[in-house]
Amino acid sequence: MRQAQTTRRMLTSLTIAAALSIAAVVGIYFFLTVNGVKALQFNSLGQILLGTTWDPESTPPKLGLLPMIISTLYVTAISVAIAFPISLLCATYLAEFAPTFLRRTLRPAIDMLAGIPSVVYGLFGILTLVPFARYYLGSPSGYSVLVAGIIVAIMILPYMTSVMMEAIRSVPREYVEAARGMGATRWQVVRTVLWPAALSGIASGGMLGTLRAMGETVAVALVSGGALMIPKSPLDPCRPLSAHILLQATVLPVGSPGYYALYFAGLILMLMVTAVIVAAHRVRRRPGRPRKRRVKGGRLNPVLVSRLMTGLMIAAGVIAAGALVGITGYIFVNGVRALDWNVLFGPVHIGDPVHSALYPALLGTLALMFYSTVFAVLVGVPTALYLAHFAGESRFTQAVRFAIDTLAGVPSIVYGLFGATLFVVYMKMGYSVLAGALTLATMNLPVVVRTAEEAFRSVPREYIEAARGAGASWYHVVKDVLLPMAKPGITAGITLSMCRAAEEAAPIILTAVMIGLVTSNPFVHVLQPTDALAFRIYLIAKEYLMVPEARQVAFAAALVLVAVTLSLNFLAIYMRDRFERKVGREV
Amino acid sequence: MVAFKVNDLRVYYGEKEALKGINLEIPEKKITTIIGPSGCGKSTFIRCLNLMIKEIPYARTEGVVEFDGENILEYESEEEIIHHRRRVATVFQHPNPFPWMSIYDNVAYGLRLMGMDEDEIEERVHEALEKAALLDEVEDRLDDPASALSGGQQQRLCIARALAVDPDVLLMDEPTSDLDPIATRKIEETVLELRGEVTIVFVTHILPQAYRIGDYTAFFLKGELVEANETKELFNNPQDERTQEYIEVEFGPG
Repeated sequence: MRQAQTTRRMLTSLTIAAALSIAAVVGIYFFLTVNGVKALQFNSLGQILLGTTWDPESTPPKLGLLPMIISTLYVTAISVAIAFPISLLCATYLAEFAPTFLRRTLRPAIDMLAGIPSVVYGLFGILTLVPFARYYLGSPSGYSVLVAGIIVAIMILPYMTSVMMEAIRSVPREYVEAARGMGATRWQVVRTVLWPAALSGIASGGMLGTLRAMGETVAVALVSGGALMIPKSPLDPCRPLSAHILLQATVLPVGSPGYYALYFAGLILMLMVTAVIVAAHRVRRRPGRPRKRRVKGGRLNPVLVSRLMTGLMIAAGVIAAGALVGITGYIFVNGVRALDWNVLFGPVHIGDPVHSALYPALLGTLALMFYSTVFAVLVGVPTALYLAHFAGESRFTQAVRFAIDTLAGVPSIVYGLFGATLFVVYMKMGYSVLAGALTLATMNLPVVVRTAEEAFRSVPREYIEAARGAGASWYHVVKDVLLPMAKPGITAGITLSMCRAAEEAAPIILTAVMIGLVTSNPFVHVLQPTDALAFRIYLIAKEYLMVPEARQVAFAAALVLVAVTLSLNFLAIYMRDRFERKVGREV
Repeated sequence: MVAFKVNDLRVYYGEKEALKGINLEIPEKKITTIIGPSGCGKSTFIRCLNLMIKEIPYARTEGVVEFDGENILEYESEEEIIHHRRRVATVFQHPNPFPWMSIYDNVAYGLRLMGMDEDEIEERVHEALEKAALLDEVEDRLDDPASALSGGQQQRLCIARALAVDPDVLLMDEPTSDLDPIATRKIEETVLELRGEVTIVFVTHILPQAYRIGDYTAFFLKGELVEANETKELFNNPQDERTQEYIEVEFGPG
């Protein structure tokens, strides 16, 4: 009887946790909508969507968002146009053509690179591509749509490549054999078998990249120039929606017309994200006879075409690898040169991000990682357990699932805005470690839930049945079978969540950090604002680059941050592989 | 006339010798069945005939497979290999029509690879479906997805796909082992219809099947060719005692 009671209690807690994640989604949408709609009291819908002037302090306020909307679309289009073909060719090469040892080395390497923080890409962009665009491409300031597009393209490359590669790898060999057996060239196999068969996976890779490109904030805020104008050429500066929210949210008073307009901007961003998700889900090839047409290239020698395309794939791989190795190398070399005892542990100067030592920032980052992960795990792991093994197909379950899927698509800056209003203002936490951690935890909830759910799900049924058959209560099944078996998978989710907490600058800029450094211990004084590595890099790159020693400090901070995120990512990948081996899946 | 002349063919997978010196002539426009227990090298052997063996990076071949006066094992360039495969088509064990294509597109696949004119393709698709005894069943739904067909129909679709390019040889690697008896019978009838038109090499581990459809039969065991002869002769009057034993065990008494 005692066991039955424990089981019942466990189930209740699981359900409560799952309900909490619904509350988070409803909360986000509630805040976005309620606050966003308030902007309509000051300007009409047309004035906001089509207005080109942003002057929230004039009377009446001018809340035109058209330049930002166009900037978001422009930057996203350029970055996806660059990254999509390169990723697809790269993924195809790695999945189908590359020798096994190359694939074995590159697959984890690509996943690792996905963990480089966006602020680091921004720093790289400001110091290299921006001057390049100014001196060689004739961009007025160098800060431009083009540079933003290129930087974002490099950022989303690893994501897209990784997802597309998995999709192409999972195309059944028998189809490839059938095509090869009929005398298809390697390229014809790619074009007629691999890509069509992996179409939905390729589309979801493209979707993930596009979503990130749209929501990307910090790197774009650094290199786009922030100009409030409709960019007429790719060389003009611009200000995408996400960057606009970041730049304005810390300046505008809560409750002002402009503040509500930022929420409206967040709503528009969410709408774009949803449109991309819906579009990607629609991509499915319908079999049917294509219109009668001569097959393209039918007159060309197919073997020659195949050789050319293979060359192109290798070229794409070299470009992608070059870009990523270039950035990591750049940060590493400059970081190692910049790093010394004094930069790390020297004196702390309040209000001076350049001359103050880095250790408070490192501590702040660690505290944010720690607390946010604790919150995310406390809610996320029980939710995952609930979804994996205890959820029927009830309305409630569907709502939880929908909630998690929706949360996964929300851009990080929108989480920042949400946290800034709910935790900072309404709950009176102020800019604090706690507010930042709660914001990051909400952001990471879907990551934790998804990884943990997959881990719980892939525990072989026979073990559960063996335990049940031996008379174990569900409580004991969870404690003795599910949790231990799923531990590496859960740990991978936890590490990923910590990694994201360290690398995301946008949400904490709106909730946890303040200009000027605070020296209290962030682990203890959770209601105090704190410094953080990502924030320090952002601030220096944005405001202090003309100060002589600024670069050195920024490079040092970037190196420390990259060391933290890459080692966490490495750990996560290692755990994932171990987990896959444990449940007997092929790596 | 001889389609393939195989001389001292050896295949190695890494260290392991999968075929140990095969000597065999495969007659033109007849049905040659290849029998033997699983792991005996049957599949490896027919992979050599259309050079799919070259798709396996760790496989190595020695010896001669003569086709049309040339040793095809010496083909190294993609051009030569592809040209050869268009003359030697394969039907695999598991029916594998492309599920994302329509019935029509599946049959047209090889023709489109060659860059053929769409008008000509239409004609050839109908011919191939006819030969594969599938046309009557699918004529009014050529645009349906191939995955809508039953297993037996899918396999005949694969036969049509292979025949559409008008190959000289049709290799069939246990094409009925995933099918039920009725579908199997249908495939056998289709194959018998093709006798005299195209050279067929038919791998099977079902001895009655080999007996029913074969003109010639070769028995493989542990990577060796034990015996090859006219089918009736091999089954009724085996020369090697290993053949005799295998036939007795597999066929059962009588």
